[in-house]
Amino acid sequence: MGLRATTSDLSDMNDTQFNEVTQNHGSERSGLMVLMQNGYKRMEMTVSRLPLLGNLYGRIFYGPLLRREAKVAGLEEGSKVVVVGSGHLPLTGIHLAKQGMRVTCIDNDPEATSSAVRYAARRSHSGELEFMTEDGIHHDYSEAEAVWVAFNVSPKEPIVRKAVDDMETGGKVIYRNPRGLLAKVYGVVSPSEIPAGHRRIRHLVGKDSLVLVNRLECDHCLRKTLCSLEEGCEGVIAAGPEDPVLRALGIRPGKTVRSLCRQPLGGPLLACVDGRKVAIDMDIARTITLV
Amino acid sequence: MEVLLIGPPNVGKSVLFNRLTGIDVFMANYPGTTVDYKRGHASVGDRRYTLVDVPGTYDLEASNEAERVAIRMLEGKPSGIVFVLDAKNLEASMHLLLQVLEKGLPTVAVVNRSDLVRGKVDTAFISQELGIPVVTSIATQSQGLDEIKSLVGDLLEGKVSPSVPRSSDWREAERISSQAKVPLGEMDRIERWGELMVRPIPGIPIAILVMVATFGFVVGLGMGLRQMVILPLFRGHLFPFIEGAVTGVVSDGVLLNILIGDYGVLIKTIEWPLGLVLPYIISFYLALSILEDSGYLPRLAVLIDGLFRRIGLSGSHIIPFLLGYGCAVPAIMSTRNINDRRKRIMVSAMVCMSVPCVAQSGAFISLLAEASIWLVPAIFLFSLLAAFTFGMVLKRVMGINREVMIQEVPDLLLPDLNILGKKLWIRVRHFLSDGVLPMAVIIAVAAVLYETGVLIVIGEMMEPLVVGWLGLPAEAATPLLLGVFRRELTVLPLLDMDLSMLQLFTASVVALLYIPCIAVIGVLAKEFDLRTAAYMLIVTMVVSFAVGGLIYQIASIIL
Repeated sequence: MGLRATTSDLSDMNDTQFNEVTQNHGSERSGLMVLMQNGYKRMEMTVSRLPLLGNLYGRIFYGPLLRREAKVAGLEEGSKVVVVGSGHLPLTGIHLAKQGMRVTCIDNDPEATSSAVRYAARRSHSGELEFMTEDGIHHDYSEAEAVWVAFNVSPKEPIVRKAVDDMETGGKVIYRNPRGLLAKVYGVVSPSEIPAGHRRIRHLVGKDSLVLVNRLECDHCLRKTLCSLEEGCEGVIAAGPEDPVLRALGIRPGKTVRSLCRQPLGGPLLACVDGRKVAIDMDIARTITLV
Repeated sequence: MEVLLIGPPNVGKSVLFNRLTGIDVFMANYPGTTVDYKRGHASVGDRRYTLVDVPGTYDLEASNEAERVAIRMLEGKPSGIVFVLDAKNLEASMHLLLQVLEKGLPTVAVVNRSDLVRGKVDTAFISQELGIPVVTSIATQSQGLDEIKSLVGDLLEGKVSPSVPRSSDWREAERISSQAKVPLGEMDRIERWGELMVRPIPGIPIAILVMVATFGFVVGLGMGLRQMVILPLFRGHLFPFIEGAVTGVVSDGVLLNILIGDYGVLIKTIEWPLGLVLPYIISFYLALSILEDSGYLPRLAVLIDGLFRRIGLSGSHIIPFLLGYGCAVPAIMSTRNINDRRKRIMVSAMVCMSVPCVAQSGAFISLLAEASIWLVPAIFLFSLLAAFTFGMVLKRVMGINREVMIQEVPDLLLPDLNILGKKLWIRVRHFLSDGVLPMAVIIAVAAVLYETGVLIVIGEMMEPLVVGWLGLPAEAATPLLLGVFRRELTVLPLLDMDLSMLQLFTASVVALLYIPCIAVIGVLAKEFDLRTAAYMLIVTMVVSFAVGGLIYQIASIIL
């Protein structure tokens, strides 16, 4: 457990200053949004003093969500990640550290950093966890493998763009877009406007997670697979599972495959090889890579 | 002398087998119809031989039951092999052929389905490359049979030398087939339809339409046959004749009642199996055969996969369910190509529990349509709902993992009328020989028990359950007793009982969920073990009474 606080002047900033800091980039924000963000911050502050509540929320809701995001992003133990806008209650950082990652949490509010350090000290995890007071727009992301941009970070888009620009090929940026009414208040950062491949994870309530991948053009997957092949398009198979039936049906390296359509409710993908139609489970389609 | 007929699935081996032997092997346009192998005797000139229809396999790697059967047969030293290649998917069949050639047995090859490619497959080239005789055929149109017969003659006379084993990797298969293959032409209209039908739009609306139309066809044709043909014949001519003959010989009394009374043997043994059930056997199996031969079922399987995933199954498991609407026995047999035993049990249990067989469906329709035509779809929708709910429960209880779907979607074909007629006849004949007689015997036994008062005594014993809990008249205990023997007998005796709508629905639900018939129990014990069969008995019994009772109790509070 490596817990380090590299914050300076933790105590000499008061609430008014904190508002100024957060409003640095906030020219286009609506009043309602500021109200909600501040409310959210207060709530986090309260919860950070009630560890049991935070623990419960993390275990039931937030933990699984993060695990899904990390899985889609293909992160493993030891991955170096940055969390932007970790706030008073650094659940993202703690959960990722619990998964064994090396985590740096940054927040532009020193007060948040200090209570985050306090909160994290009482949590055990197997990775590294570090807190810094820094504005996300100035941070250097070049060494990170993945960057989480928190929901309440504002303005989100420049930070997402900077992270994508800073990172090497294949670096991932994960952020969440609100849905429905929330989207009207917060606005969304459209992933298609950022020069990176993306994949959307739909959550049950409120938000979508977006995993951006630096300098990849695929729209659905992080690798070029049969699953990422657009409907009606053709691709050449590079590798696939060693299944005799699949091979007999023409799913073999070197074969040209056309994606016909996908079935609803997570049903199979219909592919066509040499005029032969084959329905392939999505889980398998994802393992069939294309040249 | 034994000759094996080997090839990939859905290549027409069974059709070829039928043409060569004249035996009616079952075939359909979905992969893996032949789970068991079939043997038949045939002759070329004056030489008799045994032809074996080996289950179709994509490979010889022993990864599933069909492949293990095929390997075992190849190792049984047959006199020769007739290998069936698929003209349309030459490469995959070539790969399998190369694997078969490794066995070093006398082999000849037939390129079947050559009507489905535009142009001619270069058989001379294949023959030269592999050193075996090769001919083309169109089995469904009986083309090329003489050539095949003469090749089999050569095999029997030892004129074909054992094959030379050679490399069987994919590259070799690709090389040979790419040179022998003719390019696939443009899609014709039926192929384009075939592709549209498997796209979610318009595939799903079409699927719903097809299912509703099938249901309408089965019910409509069945009712039509019954009302227009069979009943007038029976009521107008046969029954008056029987009654006249009996009253002429037997005077009033128990014997007369047994013969032509309420459960009169001479009337019911003819009316129930032939008048009530047979029309639906004909209409259902006609519809199912059309669906099978057209190649629509794999499309349905692909479309419904997403739904079946929810209960841990894959869309291809819809086949046992559809067969189950005919009879649970072939449905349970067809689960043999499911590799996971627990999944086999799960599918079998769902079929036993909530899929009515065609005989019972016919009985439902006769019973319910007279009271209200809406009760008929209601009970069938209930059956679907029950199957899904039961599936969810079983998935949890048995800890079923999700099944991964890899399924070939064969081309849509116009069913061949000749083959269609043959298939229908095989199934109807099966009902006439194996279904009618047991049913008649049980009706006869029931008639004796009824007229001697035994059934009434048993009915009184079951009164608290039947009358108190299910809200049915006391004599409704009779069908529940008879239902042990045949599923439709849980329904048919209710016909003459004058029940209210609620009673009809409750009784139908109980009958639907009630224990499977004795033949099914036997198959369960044979395919799995006695314990599984016993579990099935207990579970279906308990669930049927519980659900039926709940429906009645709740409805009687509300109404």
